[in-house]
Amino acid sequence: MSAENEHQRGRIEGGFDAVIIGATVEGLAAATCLAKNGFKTVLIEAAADVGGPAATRGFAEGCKVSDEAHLVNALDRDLVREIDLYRHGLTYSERRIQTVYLSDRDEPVVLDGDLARARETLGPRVGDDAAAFEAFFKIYGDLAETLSGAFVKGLTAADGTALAKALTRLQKDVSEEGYALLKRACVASTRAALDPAFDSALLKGGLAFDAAFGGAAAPSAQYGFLNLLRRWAGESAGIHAAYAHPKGGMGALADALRRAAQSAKVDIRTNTAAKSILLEWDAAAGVALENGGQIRAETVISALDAETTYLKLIGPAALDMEAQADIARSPSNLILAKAHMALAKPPALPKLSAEALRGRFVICPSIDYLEEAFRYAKFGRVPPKLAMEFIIPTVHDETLAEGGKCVLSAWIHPAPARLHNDADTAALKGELLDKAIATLEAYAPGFRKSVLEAEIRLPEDYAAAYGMNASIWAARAPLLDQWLRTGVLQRGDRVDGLFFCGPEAVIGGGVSGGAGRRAAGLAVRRAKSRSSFL
Amino acid sequence: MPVQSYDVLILSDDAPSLTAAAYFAKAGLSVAVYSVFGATPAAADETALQPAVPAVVWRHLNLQAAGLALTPVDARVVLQPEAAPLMFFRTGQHGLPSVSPEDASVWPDFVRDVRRIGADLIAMRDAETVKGSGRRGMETSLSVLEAEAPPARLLTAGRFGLKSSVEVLSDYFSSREGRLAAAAPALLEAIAGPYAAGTAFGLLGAYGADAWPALRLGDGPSVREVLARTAVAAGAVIDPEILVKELTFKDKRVRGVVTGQGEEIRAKAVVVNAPEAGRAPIDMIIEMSEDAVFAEASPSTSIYYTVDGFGRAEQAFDDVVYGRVPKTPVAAFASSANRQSAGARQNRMLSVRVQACPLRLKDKNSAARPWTKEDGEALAAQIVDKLSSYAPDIGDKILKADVYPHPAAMQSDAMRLQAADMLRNLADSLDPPGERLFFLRDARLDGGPVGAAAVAARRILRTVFKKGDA
Repeated sequence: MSAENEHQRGRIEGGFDAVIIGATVEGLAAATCLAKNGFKTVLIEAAADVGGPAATRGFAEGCKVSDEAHLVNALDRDLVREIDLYRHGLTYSERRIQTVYLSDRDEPVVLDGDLARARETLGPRVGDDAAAFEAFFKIYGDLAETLSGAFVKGLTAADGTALAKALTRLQKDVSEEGYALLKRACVASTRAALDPAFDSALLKGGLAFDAAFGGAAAPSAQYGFLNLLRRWAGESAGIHAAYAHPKGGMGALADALRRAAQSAKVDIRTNTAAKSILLEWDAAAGVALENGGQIRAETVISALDAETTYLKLIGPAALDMEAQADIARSPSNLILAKAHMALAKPPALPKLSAEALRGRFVICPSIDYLEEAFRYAKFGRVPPKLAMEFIIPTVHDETLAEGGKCVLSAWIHPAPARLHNDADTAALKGELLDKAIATLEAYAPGFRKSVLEAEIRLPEDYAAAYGMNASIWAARAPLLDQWLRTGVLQRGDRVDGLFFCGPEAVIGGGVSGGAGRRAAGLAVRRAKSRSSFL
Repeated sequence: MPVQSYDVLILSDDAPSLTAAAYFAKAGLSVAVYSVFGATPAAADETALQPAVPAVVWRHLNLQAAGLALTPVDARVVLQPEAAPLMFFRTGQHGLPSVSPEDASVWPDFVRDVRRIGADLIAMRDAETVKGSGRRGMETSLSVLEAEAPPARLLTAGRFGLKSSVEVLSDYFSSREGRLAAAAPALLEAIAGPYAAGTAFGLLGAYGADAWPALRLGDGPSVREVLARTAVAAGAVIDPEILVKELTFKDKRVRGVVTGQGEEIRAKAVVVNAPEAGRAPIDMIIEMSEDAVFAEASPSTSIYYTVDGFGRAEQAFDDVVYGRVPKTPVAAFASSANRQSAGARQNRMLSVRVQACPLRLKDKNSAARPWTKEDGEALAAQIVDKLSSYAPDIGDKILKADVYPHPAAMQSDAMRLQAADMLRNLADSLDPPGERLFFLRDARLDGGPVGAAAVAARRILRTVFKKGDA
C-alpha cells in the first residue's frame, strides 16, 4: 500500500464519485454503503490500520483488550443488514450479556441480557421492583425502540432545519401518549424518573449509572434521563437493548467492516492523511492530501471529529460565527476514563457463580453514590469511590490473553478532566488507577493482589493514538442537545456535497455505524436529485 | 348528604396558585383553594421581595384597582466578597453594569439576544399549547409558527434552553465579573447550579421584558393578598386551613379530594403548585433599627444579590440535593419600611430570599426530617453572618429575625407530611397519575412563577372548560 502512495505523491486523481476521510467504524460504514450504491469510492486513513478507536490492542504481556468501547449495544441494525456484516466475519463470543449491579454488602441485582425477560433474573431479591421494572421497560424500552431510527438521524427533517418540523415528524413515529411521555422524558432528571418508580437503591443506582454513562449530567440534573432511552434504543444480534461482545474484541468488528468495504470495491488507502477539503463555488470538490496529491470527487464524507473537519480541513472562513462557536464549544470538565488490567486470576465476586463472570458489571450501589462521584469529579477531584462499568473479556473469549491470564476492562465515569491542583496527567492516571483498584477490592476481596499490570487510558491517549480531538472523549452534553446538534452537523448544508459522520454525529456515543450509513444515504439522495435536475 | 363539588380545586395557597384561582373565578368557574402543604403564614407576606407580576397579569386581573402597588427598584446591586459591588441602574433599561469596558459593550447584545430567544421560545410553547392539542392541532400550529419565526432561530432557541448559564455567559463576557454580574439575578430564580444543563432558562426569566424587579415598600398589600382579594371578589372560596389528605381518581381522571375530616369533595380539575425536586426558596424578614449600608452610593431602593462565584453557587445547589442547608446560600435582599410600625417609630425591615433550600433536611444517615425552629435560627444566624461581611455594623441594628420556609418544609403533622410528600412525588413523577391534575410549574419564560401560572390557568380554561380568554 505504501509503495502505491509513493507513486501517487503530488498527483491529482479524478474518476471518483466520493472520498471518505477517516476509516473509523462510521467511515467504513459510509464508504461501504456508498460503494454498494454504485459510487466509485475511496477511503483515506492517516493511520496504518483501519478502525480508529475500534481496535484490539495489546496492553500487557500476552494480554489484549478492546482499546475503547468494549461492548456493542447500538450497532446500527440497518447497516448490519445492508452490508451483510455477518457474512464478512462478524461473530459474537457472547450475545446476551447479563447486567449485574454489584453491592459491597448484599446480593447483586441481575438483569437478563434480554431486558424484557429481566423479571425472572431480578426475582424476589428486589420484591415488587421485578414487576415494576418489567412495566418500566415496557413503557420506556418500547418508546426507545420506536425512536431508534430517529436517534440515528438527528432531530431534523432532511429537507429543512426546523426544530418544529422535526418534532412533528417524530410525533408521527410514536403514539400520542408516547409523544407526551417523550416530551417529559426529554427534560426529566434521572433521579426524578427512577426514584418514584423503584424501591431498591441498588437497582436505581445501576440504572442511574447506565443513564449517566458518557454524559455530563449528574443524576439530579435536568435532561439526564433521555440518555437511558438512547441506550435502550439499540439492539445486538436481534435482541433489543442487549449487549454483545465481538469475538476477538472491537478490532475484529473493524476487520469485518474492512472486509465488507473491500468486497464492495472501496479503494482503502491507509497512511494517507487529509490536509484540507477542496471547495469550489462553496461546494465540496475533493480532498487535498498531506503528501501533496489531490483526490477529486463531488461527494466528501468526513468521519473525523467536527473541529478537525470544519475548522481545520475546511477552515473558519467558510463558516459563520455561530457555527464556529458551536463547533469549538468548550468541552465539559468531566471525562470518561478507561482502565485495563491484566490479572493473575479472575476476580472473586462473592455471591456470584463463576458463570456470572460473563456479565457486564456496574459498580454504583445507589443514586447518591453516583451523585457524590459527580460532585468530586466536577470540582477536579478523583472520587474516592468510583462509579464504573467493567467486563472480563477473557471469560468469554480466551484468544485475548495467553497463559491463563485474565483481562479486566473498565469504564470509569465520571472522572475529572484535570485535577484541581493542576497536577499533570500522570498524577491523574495514578490516582484513578489507585482508586479503581481500591473500589474493585471492596467488591472482590483479594483483587489488589491479583493485578499483574494495569493502565489508564485518558482522552489525550486516544487523541494521540487515533488522530482525533480529545474533546470527543469528554462527557457529553445532554442527549437532546446532541440530537439537535447532530442534525445540523450531519447534513451537507454548511458546504454543499460535504457530509459528516464524525463522533459527534453518533448520538449517545458507542460503536454504531449508523451515522456513516446515514451520511451515505444523504449523499446518495443528493446525487439522485442532482441527476434528475440536470 | 350531597357531595360538595367545584369546577376547580386548588391545593396550595402561594401567589401562583392564587393567580390561577383568580383567573378561574373571573372566568365564572366555581373555585376553592384548600391546602396540602399547610397555609402560608400571613407574616411571610410582609417581605419586600414580592413575586414578579407580569404586566399582562396585572391587566387581566385588574390588580391596579385591587390596590396592588409595587415600586421598581432603582438599582440591581451584585455584592462580591473582596471586590467592588457591580451595579445596574434602572435608567437606561438594564443599564450597563460597572464591569470591564469590553464586557459593558457586549451587554446590550446580550440582553437583546436573550429577549429574542425568550420571545421565540414563548412563541414555540404558545403555538403548541394554545392552538390545540392532538396531532392535527400540533401540525397546524407548528406550520403557523414556522411561517412566523425563521426555522434557524427556532433551533437556536431550542438549543439555548439546554445549555448551562455559565456556558451561555462565557459566549458573551470575557471577564469573570461580567459573567457574575449577568448571572446573579438569574441565580435567584434558578433550580440548579450555574453549571447544570438547562439553567440558561434562568437568564430568560431574569432579563425578559417584565423582569425588572419591584418591591413592596410601605403599607400596601402583598401580591398574595391582592390576588386572594380578587379571587374572592369573583366568587372563589379560599380556605387553606382545610387539609387535603388524598386525591381520588376515576378511570384515570382526577375526581376530587378527600379532606382531613374524611369529607369527599369533587372537582372537574385539580391544580397545585408543588415544589420541584425537594427544594423551595426560603423567605426571611429581619427587623432593624436603621438601614445598613451594603454598598456605597447604591440608591435606597435597591435589590442586592450575593454571589460568591460560580463554584460556590454550584456547591450551594449541590448541598440542597443532599438535604443540607447551603454553606454559602444564594440570596437576594432589599430593605423597606415596616408596615406594622408605620406611624409609630419607623423601623426598617430587611427582606431576604434564600434560593434553593431543601424541603427535608437529611442527617448523616440520610434520614429525612422536616425543618425545625432551630434549623431556621441557624440559617438566620448564617445569613446575618454573611450580611455582616458587607455591612460590618449590621449586628448592632438587628432587632429580630424571622425565617419562613415553604409550609411543606415545616410540616411535622404525620398526615400532612404524608399528603405533601405524596403530592411532591406525583409532581416529580414522569407518568401523570391521571388526567386533569395540573402542576403549576415548568416554563418560567415569561415573568416568573406568577406569569407561568397565568399561562397555565388560561390553557386549562381553554382545553378543559372550553372558555376563551377572560
